[in-house]
Amino acid sequence: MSQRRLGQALLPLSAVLLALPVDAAWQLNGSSTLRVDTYQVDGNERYSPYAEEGTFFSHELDLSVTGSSRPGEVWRFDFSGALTDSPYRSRFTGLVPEVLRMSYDNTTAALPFRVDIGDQNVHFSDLTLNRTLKAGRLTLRPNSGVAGRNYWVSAVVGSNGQEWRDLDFAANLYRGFSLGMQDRTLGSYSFYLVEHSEKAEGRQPRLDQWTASMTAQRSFDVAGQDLNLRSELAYFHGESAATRHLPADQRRRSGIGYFTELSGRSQTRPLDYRLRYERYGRDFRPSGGSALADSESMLAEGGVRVKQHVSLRGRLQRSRTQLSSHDPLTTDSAALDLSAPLLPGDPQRLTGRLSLNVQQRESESGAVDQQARTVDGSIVFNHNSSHQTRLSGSVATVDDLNQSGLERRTRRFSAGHSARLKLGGLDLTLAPGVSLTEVDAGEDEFSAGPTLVVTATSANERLALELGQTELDADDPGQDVETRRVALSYEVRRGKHSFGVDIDRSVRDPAIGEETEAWRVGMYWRYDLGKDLGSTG
Amino acid sequence: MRRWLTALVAAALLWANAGLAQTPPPEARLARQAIEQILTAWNTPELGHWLAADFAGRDQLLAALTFDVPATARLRILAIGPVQVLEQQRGAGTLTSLVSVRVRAQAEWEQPGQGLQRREGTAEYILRITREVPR
Repeated sequence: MSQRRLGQALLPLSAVLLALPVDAAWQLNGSSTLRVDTYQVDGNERYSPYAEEGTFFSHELDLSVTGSSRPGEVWRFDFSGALTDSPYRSRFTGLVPEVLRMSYDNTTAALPFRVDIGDQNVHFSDLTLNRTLKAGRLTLRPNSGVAGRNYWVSAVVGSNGQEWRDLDFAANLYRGFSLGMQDRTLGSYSFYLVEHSEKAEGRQPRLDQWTASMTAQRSFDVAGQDLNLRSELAYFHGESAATRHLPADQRRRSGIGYFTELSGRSQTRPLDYRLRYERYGRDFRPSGGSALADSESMLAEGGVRVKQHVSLRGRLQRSRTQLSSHDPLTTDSAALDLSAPLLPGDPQRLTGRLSLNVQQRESESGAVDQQARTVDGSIVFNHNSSHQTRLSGSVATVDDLNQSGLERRTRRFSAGHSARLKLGGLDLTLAPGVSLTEVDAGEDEFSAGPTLVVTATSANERLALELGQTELDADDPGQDVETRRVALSYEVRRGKHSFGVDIDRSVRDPAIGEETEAWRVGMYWRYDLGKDLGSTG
Repeated sequence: MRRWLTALVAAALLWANAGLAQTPPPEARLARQAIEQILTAWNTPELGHWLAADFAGRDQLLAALTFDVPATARLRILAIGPVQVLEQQRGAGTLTSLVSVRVRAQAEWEQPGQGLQRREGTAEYILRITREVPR
């Protein structure tokens, strides 16, 4: 779509927005941001964090209008877009609409309904469709006539992975239908049907597939436990990315996938838990869902809080992938998180946290046999309301058990102190620290450096300064690198206006005369259009 | 350039006339701050604390970071795009918002013998933000 045609397409929307009675019944939220950023690199551009140099402008507009023209009806219009020439902001230049959406909800019609047009998060179910689409959607909610019971029917047509500027609606198209019931005592039950197609492109033939699924969810109360059981069973048929390259008569496959999950919470103790089992067939490959084909997974997790301040959470999981191959892969994970006060008499003064995590990845033939172990902990010492010292460290070991000498051990340690001071109307926080990382993997690396974060905030201003320096010592001194980074951001707010400056300087210095220095300097002015829901709702 | 100068002059005039107007809703600002913290935690043991237990790709993401990503890799935010409130639910004295943020970010690490490596990409993050509001 050309820029001119796009502008013409947006005009009616602007007219609608301007015509709306933006008074007490309507709310206008959003912001307008003018931004200028300059990127400059001195030295070898290949080793700069910035791929493009120059000065770039952006005018970003986020606009949301919500309101009611009469009781029981709610309108909402959303627009987000940028007028920009920055390659960091968009792959397009000029006017780039990013979010366009309109919704209308009518709860008082004889047949209550809702219409959504434009960008929207369409979450049918985990296994069928959960994507942000450019779509049209109609939802009907017929009155059930039974207290505590709702019905719904919904239909959607939408396109995935598209930008408004070069929208090809049919390129990646979803068509979906859902039907469901939610009852206070019986639970929720629903049916979904999703058809998906992708246009032929180059050597890739057209892709067509459909998925049908049923979900059930019910809450119940047993032996002092609030339990919730939910399940989904889905059937898939059609082509997928995995079969698209095959001869036409071999592309269409069918598969089944399902999961069931039980979660619970004790009514008398601070205890919660979750059990989940899922299994997806080799050819179960819906494009819009989150299932991993040809896999199964078992999960058990839970947490308990003791004496208000001690928290213990655990998690066990076994995942098996490539199940139908000659060499399935099993990943076992176990994790334990403990946080507790270290001074029983003063639980807030000294607190500690410890996490243990073990992952083992192994194929049936033994060709893959890897293990990862992570121990991660921190101690926080609250001296008083103004001073806090924090020590944290972790040791992570990734080991290929099939081959000696391929173990990678990463040790991290950081120590920092945070001091909060009051200077007039200014809250000043100084946080000096030091960070050490050692990677031991045949060719060893050791990096260390000081860090300093300074923030100064007042009712309307915020200044943040971050300094970091890292010396990377490799086995081969010729590969040693020193990096330095300074980041400064300042924002001042006055009413609905904010003005800010961001400065970022990165230096990479592998050897004398080979330094690469990269700068980003940005300025912005943001005008907030919003009103707080909390104060008006 | 001329239109930008005009815009900046207009901004300065508006700035001069700005009063202490009503505070705007903080979801967009909170989402931007949260994204900075989450992407700072990427490829560190802290990331797991930010991911929801019901996030479908949680374990695949953490396993991939453990086994496949260089230990010293970090993310740099190149641009934060549109921030959209998808859903809001009121609780007892709380407002929970589901917020979508589109972010262009770049992974950077030092590869022995090859120098600084960078890989950029754009992703949409869905954040759940709960804040206290007047009852």
